[in-house]
Amino acid sequence: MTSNQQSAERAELSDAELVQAGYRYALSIARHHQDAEDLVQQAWMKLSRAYGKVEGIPVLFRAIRNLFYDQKRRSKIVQFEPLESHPENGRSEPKGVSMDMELLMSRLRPEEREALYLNVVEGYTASEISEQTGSPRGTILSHIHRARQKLAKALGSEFRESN
Amino acid sequence: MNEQEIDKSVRELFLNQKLSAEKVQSILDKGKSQKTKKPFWMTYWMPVGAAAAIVMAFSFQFARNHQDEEFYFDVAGEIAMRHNAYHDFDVRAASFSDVQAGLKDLAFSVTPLVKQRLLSAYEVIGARYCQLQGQQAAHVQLKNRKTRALCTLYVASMNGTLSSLKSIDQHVGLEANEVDIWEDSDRLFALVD
Repeated sequence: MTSNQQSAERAELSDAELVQAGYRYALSIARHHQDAEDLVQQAWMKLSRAYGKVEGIPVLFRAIRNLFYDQKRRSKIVQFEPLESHPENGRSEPKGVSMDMELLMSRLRPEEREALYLNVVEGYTASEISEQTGSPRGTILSHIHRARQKLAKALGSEFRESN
Repeated sequence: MNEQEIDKSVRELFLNQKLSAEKVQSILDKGKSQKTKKPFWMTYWMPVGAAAAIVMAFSFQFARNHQDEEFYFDVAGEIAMRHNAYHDFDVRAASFSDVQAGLKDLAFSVTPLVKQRLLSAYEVIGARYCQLQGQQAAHVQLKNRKTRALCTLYVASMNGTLSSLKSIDQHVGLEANEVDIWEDSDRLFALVD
C-alpha cells in the first residue's frame, strides 16, 4: 500500500475508527493500556471542546502527543529501562509473537516506539513523521533503525536490513 | 529476523489492539457532551468577530475624533467671523464683573477660573448677548494691553452640541485669526486675538 493510498484512507475514517487509531498511537507512546485509554479520551474531549469535532488523524495524534509530553513533564516520574540492560534480553524463549513484541516494544524509548509505530503501522514517511513530531528527519530515521535493531537483538537474531 | 518480519510483528501487535465498542462509544459520547458547551461555529467565527469588533471600535473612535475636530473648527470659525463683524456692544465694561452686571440675563458666570494669566494680558472693554451653536453666549470685547488690538472672548455654557467639546483645550489656526478654545467649569471659552 502506498503512502498516498494510506493518506486517503486516513482522511475517510469514521469517528469510531479515529478513536481506535488514536488509541493505538497513544499505546505506542504511553506503553500502558490504561494510560493510552486516558490519553485518547482526554484528547478527544479537548478537541471536541475546542473545535466541535475531531478533524482527522494528524490533529488527534498531535493532541495525544502534546497531552502525553505535558503529563510526562508534570509528573517526571516516568522512568525508562534501556532494552539492552534488561536481564531477560535475548535469553528467554519466545511465548508467542504478540506477547513478546508487546513486552519488547514497551522497553523501547518512547521516541523510538512512536517513530516505529508511525512508520510501520500508520505508513507515514520519515519526512511526515518529522513534520508531525518536530524532530529532524535524520533523527526519525535513526529512531526507526535503532528500534528495529533493538527488537531484533532482543528477539535473539541478528538484524538484517531488507534493502 | 529481518526488517520485514519485525515490521510485520509490530503491525500485528498494534492492529490487534482495540478499545471495546462500549469504551469507544463512551469516548464519543463524552466528546458530544463537550460540543454543546461551545458551538462549532463559535470556535471559527469568534476570533473573526472579535477582530471585526476591534476594527469597528477603532474606526468609530477615529470617525468620532475626526467629527470632533471638524466641529471645533466650525465653532472657531463662527467665533472668528463674529470677531471680525461686530464692533457695537450692549454694555461697556472694565471688568468681568461689569460684564456680568451689564448682561443680567446670562445664565452663567463670565468670570474665568482658568487661564487667568493669559487673560490678564487683555483689558475688558464691553460685551453683548450672543449665541453660539444655538446656546446662549456672551461676546466680550477685549483689548490686548501690549498691541492695543481689539480682541474677542466668547463665553458659552456647554450645553447641546457644545457639550461634545468637553475637556477641550485647543489652539486653532484659521486663515485670518488664531483662536484658543478651552473648557472652564462647564463653560466654553474662546479667545480670538
